[in-house]
Amino acid sequence: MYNFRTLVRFEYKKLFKKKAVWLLLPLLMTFAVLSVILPSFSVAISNSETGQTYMLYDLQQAQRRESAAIKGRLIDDSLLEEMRAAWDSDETLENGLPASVRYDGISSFILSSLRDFLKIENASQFTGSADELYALRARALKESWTEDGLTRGEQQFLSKKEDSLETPFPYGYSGSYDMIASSMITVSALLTFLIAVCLSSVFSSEHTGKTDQLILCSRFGKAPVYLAKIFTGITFSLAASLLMLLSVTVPSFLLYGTEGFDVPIQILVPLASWDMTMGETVLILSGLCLTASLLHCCAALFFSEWFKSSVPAMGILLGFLLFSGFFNIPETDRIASQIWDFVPLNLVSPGGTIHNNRLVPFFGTYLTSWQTGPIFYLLLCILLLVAGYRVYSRWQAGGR
Amino acid sequence: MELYIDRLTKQYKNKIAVDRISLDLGAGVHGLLGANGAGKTTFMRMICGILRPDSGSVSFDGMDVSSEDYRAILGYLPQDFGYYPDFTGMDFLMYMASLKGLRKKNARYRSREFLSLVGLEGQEKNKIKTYSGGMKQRLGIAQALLNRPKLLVLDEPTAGLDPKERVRFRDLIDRIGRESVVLLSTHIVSDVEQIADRILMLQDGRLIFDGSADEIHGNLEEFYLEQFDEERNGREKLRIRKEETHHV
Repeated sequence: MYNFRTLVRFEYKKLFKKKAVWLLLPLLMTFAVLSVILPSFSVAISNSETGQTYMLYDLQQAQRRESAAIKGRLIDDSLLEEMRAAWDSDETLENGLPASVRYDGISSFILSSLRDFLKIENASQFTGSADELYALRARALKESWTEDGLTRGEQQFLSKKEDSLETPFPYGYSGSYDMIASSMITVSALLTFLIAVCLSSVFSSEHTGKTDQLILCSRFGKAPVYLAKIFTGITFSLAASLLMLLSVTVPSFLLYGTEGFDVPIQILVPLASWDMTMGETVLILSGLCLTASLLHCCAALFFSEWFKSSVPAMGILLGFLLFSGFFNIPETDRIASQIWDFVPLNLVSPGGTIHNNRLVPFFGTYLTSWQTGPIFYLLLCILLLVAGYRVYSRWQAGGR
Repeated sequence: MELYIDRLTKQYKNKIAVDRISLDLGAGVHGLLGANGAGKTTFMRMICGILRPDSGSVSFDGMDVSSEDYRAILGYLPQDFGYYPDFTGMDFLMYMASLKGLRKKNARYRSREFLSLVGLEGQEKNKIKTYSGGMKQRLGIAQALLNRPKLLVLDEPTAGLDPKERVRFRDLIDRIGRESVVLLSTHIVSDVEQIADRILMLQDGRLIFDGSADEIHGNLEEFYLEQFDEERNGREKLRIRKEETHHV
C-alpha cells in the first residue's frame, strides 16, 4: 500500500509554494468580507420629508431592532392594520427614522407579492385585507407559472407544494440570511477565479517543468499520483469554498445578527412555493456553491492535463465565468434558458434556485433545480476525472 | 536478472527513431553510444515506459514495462528534466522516495545516504533554485538511485559534471553495475570507455555495434568514429550505385 498521505502532502507543498495561492486566497476573502460590509456604510439615504440623511447601516439596524417586536407574528389583518397606522403616524425613533421601519419587512413582502401582478410601486397602494393579499398572491403565483411556460404536470406538482404551506405566514427578520443568499453569486465568482488561477497548473506544471518523466516512470507515478493530485485539488477547493462562505457569513452575522434561520422563505420570496426556511435556503445555496466549486476544480484539473499548460485551462474557466456573467437566454425559450440556469453562476443565485419554478421530470415526479444541479455536476465531475485519467496515463514523452 | 528487448521500433512521421532493436542485457554497465539524433533518448524512454513503441516489447525478468512491478525496480535519469525550484534537495528526494514507495524512515535514511554519495551533503536544506547545473545533475543521479534499482537507465548522466565529479560518478556506476543492469547513454566516448562491460552503438535508430570492450582492439574513440565512417561510406556507395543503375 502506497503512502497516499505523503503524496498528498507533497502535492499541497507544491501548491502552496506558489505565490498566487498565498496572495489570492486572503485577497479574495477580504474582497468577500468587504462586499458584505461596504454597501451598508457607503450608501446614504435621505428622508424626503425631514431632509435628514442617514447611512443604510442605520436603517438596517433600526429595522432589525424594531422588527423584534413583531417577530413570529402572523401577517394577518391585525398586523396589516398596525402597519398602516404606523405609516400614518409621525412618530420617529431616537435617530430620526420613522417608527414605521418596524414594518418594512411586511411592506417588502406585500410589494414583492403584488408588484408585477397589480403593477404597484409602493406597498401602501394595496389597501385590502390579509385574505385578499394571500388570494392575490396565489393568483400572481399561477400567472408566473404560465409566464414561465410550466407544463400542467409541473403546475400540479407546485400546487401541491403550495397547498402544504400554511398561511398567513409568520413574520421574522432575517437580514443576515438575506445578505448571505444574495452574496452567493459573488462568492461563487471569486471561487471560480481562485480555482482557475491556483489549480490549472496542478498537472500542467509537471509537463512544463519536465518533472513528468520522473513521476510517470516511478512505481506510484500513475494512478496514485493522479489520485493524490485530484484529492489535493478537491480538498483545496472545498476548503477555499468554506473559507469564502465564512467570509460572507461571519460579517453578515456580526452586522445583522443570527436571528431568522426559521423564517419562511416566502417572507423574502413571496412567490416561492417551497416549504423551507431562510436558514435552509442558505444551506442549500451553500451546498450548491460547494458542488459548483467541485465542478470547477475537476474542470481545471482536466484542462490542466489535457492542454499540458495552465494558460488555456485558466482561460477556459475565466472566459466561461465572464460569459455566464453577461450572457442570458430569455425565459421565453423554455428549454435553452432552463439548461442555461444550470450554469454554476446562475444555479448558486437565489434567482436560479428559489425563484426558479421550472422543474425537471424524474421518474414520474419532478426535481427542482437545486436537486438536479448537484446530481448533474457530480456526474460531470466523474466524467472529467475519468477522462483526465485516460489523458494522464496515456501521456507520451516523445517529441521533446 | 535480465532486460529483454524484442524488436523495439519507434517511428516519428517519416523518421525511424528506433529500428527493430533486440537486446538481452544482464547485470553490468552497458554503454550506449551514438551521435545526437541517433535515437538513444527515444530508445531509453521506451525502456522506461514513458514512450510507447510502435512495435516490439520490453520486459525485465518477465515483468512488462507497463507494470508497476517493473517501475518499482527502475531508476531513471532523463537527459532533460526538471525540478521543483522551491523544494530543498531533501524535499525533492523525499518526494521521489514516496513516489518510489519508500517508507518515511527509510526514505529519509536513503535520501541522506545518496545526497552524501553525490557530494551534496550540507546542501540538503538549500532550495534547488540555488543549486548550480552540476549540483542539479547530481541530485538527479541521487533520485535515480533512491530505490536501489535493478535496472538503472541513465541518459547523458555526465552532462554538467566537472572532471572530479565525473570520476566519482564513474566509480559509483561501476559499483552499481556489479549488481544491476545499467544502461548508460552518452555521446562522449571516454564516459563509457572505462566502465562499460558492453558497448552498444546506435546510428539512425539501428544498432550498428554490440560487443564488449575487449572486442575492440585499440582505442574506443577511433573505433567509434570508424564505425560511423564505415556506415556513412556504405550509405554513400549505395547511393552512387542506385544513381548509376538509374542512369543505365
